[in-house]
Amino acid sequence: MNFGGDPILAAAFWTGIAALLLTLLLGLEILRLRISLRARQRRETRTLARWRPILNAAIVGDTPHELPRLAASERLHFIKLWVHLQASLRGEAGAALNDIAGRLGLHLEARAMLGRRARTERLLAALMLGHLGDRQAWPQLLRLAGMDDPTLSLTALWALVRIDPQAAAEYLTPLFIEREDWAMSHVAGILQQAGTPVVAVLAGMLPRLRAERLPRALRIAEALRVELPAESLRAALASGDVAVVTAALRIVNTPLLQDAVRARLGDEDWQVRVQAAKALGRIGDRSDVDRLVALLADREWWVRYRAAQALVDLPWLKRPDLAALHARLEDRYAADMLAQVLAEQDAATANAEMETA
Amino acid sequence: MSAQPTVLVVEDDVHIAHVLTFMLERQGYQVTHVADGRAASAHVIGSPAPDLVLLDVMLPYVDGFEIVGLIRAQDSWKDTPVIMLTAKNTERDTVRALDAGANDFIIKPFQPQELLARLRRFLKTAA
Amino acid sequence: MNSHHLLLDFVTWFVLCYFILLNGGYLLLNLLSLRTLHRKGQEEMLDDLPRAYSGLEPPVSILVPAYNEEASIAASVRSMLQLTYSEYELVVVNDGSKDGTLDVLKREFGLLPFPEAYRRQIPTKDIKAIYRSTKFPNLRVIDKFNGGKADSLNAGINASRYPLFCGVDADSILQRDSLERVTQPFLRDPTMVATGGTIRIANGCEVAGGFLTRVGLPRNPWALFQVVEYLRAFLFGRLGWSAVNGMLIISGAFGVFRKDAVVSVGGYRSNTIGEDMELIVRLHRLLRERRQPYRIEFVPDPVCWTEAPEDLATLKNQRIRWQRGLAESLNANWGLFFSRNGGVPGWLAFPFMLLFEWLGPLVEVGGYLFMIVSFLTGAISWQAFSTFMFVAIGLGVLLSASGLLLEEMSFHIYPRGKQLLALGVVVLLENLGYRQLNTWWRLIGLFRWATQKEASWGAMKRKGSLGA
Repeated sequence: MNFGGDPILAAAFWTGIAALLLTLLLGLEILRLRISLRARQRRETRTLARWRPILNAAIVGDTPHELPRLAASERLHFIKLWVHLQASLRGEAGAALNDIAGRLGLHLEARAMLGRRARTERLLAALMLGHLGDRQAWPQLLRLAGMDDPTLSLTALWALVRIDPQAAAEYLTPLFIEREDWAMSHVAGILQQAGTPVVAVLAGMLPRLRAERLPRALRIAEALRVELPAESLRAALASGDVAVVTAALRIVNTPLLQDAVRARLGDEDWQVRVQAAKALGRIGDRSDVDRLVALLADREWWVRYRAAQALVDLPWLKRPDLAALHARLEDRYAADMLAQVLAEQDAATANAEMETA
Repeated sequence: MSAQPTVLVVEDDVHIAHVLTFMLERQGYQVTHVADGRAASAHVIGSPAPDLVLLDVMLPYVDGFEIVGLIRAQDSWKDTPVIMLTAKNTERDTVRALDAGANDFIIKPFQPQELLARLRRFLKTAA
Repeated sequence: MNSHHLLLDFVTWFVLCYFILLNGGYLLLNLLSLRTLHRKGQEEMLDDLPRAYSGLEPPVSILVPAYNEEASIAASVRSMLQLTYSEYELVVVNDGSKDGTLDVLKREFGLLPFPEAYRRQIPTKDIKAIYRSTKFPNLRVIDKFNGGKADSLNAGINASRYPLFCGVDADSILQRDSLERVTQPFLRDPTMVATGGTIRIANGCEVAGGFLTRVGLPRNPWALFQVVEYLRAFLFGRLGWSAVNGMLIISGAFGVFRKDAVVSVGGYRSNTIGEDMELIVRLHRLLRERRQPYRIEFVPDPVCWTEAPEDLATLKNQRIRWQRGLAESLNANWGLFFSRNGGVPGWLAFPFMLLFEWLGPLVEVGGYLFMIVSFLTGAISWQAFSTFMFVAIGLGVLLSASGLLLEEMSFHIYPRGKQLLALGVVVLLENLGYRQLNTWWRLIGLFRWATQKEASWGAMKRKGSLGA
């Protein structure tokens, strides 16, 4: 190709050639990926066919005396099946699966896998060690738990809780309070597994916490349905920090704190008023009916909504009482909201009746 | 004519399905396995009733509660014992299971021996 | 004569450079998406494990705007009621349908009117009534006067109860775990403001009861081209932008948003054609102006499937509409362009869109025409012309192939070898006419936008595959 000495065209031409070659390379890579995918799927099918009967037999209590050797190529597929079964079963079946893993030397293998760089291997290893209750893996798992990668660290934390709930609770609770970026749903799921030790740790930490950590700690307490002593909540309810007050209002559950809650009904921040209305619905007495009715005319939709719900849920207000209340309301927004909540309650009872019918 | 008790297993998780089938066949039951809600509906409408139904709640396409309703609506299946497998965190589901017409429920993760014991109770009374 | 040559040389050089930059830019985006995909692939192992809900996942309000959807709305809503998620509500907005959409809903779901205290956070057309389903307590239907999709979504936002909302098209086909997957980023990062799901082509797939039962390739050539086009341009390109927080588009077919963020920027804009893109660009602009930390991400898993147009006329109208939407979205948010705190969206993504998507059709069509005319009139040599075609088409094929490679690396949803082969052939053919045709349509869209002509939406001939 003679470009008449034009360098631009020459450059363009070689770009085109490069594109062509790269395309061919990509095509070959696609083929390679597909072939290796097929191979992986075949290996998995073979591994399952070979090991499933053995694991199933163990699950029903009939562990075979002789176990075949686990080939290196089968290892990951086997562990994946093993972890899946462990997550679906409990009791003697779980113990039998642990026994097999021990006999195959997989506890050693899993500890080694924790140190490798491949993420899949680390994740599976953490899960396996958690089910095995392998105490020796504790320091390694602790290291993983401190890493930035959220999936990896949360999986490691789950394993730590499985192995030793008490020790894990002492380590985890302050950690979860610190790490605000971890979603409550993950945190709560793990802490629920840790059980009662967490409650003790949390209650012990609360008085000494810095103000900015309080909301998070209170949220955790709410998620775990922990009953915190009234005195520690009283201080939180009187705080100037909106986040602290709302978090505390969410867990208030004792009539001892009625006055503290009533004091917040008129707060300027609507989120505080909403939570105060809800709290009063839980712990209020007959004198609070008027206070809640006053909130029905609040300028914020959510405050009106929760106040109406709180009123409807009060055990001593029966339907006729609520209807009479509704008729007496002068504010249009208040009347609308109460009508909606009453209709919602009707719909809910209708549904419940339908399901038991 | 040996009456081998027949069990219908409706479970979409392939590994658990294998475990259940293995367990039940080992006990001498004849197992039919169906992997999703649509196939289960078709089976309920088109096939004779088994001696027991083991039914998962979370199924693709049609969920377990609807299947129970379907079972109770079929004449030949009306009295078939139905045991439902429900997940741990949904307490509502266990109440719903019994309200929908199931005879018993088992919470996942489950103990295989406990499952077999509950099954045997219903199969003994059926025989 | 000399200046003539100079001009020709310059234009030739310019056109070549443009094509190389355009394809190079997209290749770079595909490269950027590699890391995210690699990580995704490693988590695949955990996907199959039995999932336990803590019950504390953020609840979501799913908003479904519906206009004249009587054929498929019942199946769609039923399938959305089966999503595996711990807590969510479904709000269907009947946008003044002229057909029996509302009647179908009333009948199938036992709707009864409900005295709801409607909350006007965003102004919309008037609401006629709000219904609640007696069969499914988390289903509500809003009946309102016609106002368009943006208006319907705003009405849905007004009525929604939960902090997150999910905008879905009435004909989107979801999977049971779609909602789980597309809300994952919100759990990972508390500053997340919006996430978008990948849209895949449902043509050729088996659909039953509103769910996808088996993946397949379409037979229709237009649909086939679109499969590869989506992989090339809409999938990994967006993932690349998402990796650097510069994503400017979330498809209206499936996306999740933080409600208070959307309300704080004013909700959807109702007199726009591309309301989905316009909202995202506006979110970038205003949140950056306020210096509020935020993230907008893309979830690459195949979570949403939609039926692509299979005939020329509908496809053409769709592409014209998309280009107009793009132009309007960019035009309404000039404030983002090279703005002080613009970051990646203001300094990279917006200019990229401007240069290669908005202005692109003009330069591309112009370039092709220039080359062809110049060659035919002998102004440029055979070498120049053939080199140009070689580069333009060659780079295009490379880009399409990279899309296919990324798909194979990550989700490989087309399991059969024959399908992979068919896709390979389409990768080649796509660049020999389809892509150029697309550019021509986009040019028409640009022209129409510039002259503000009223375009008809073009009702797509529906095959009713959701009716099964």
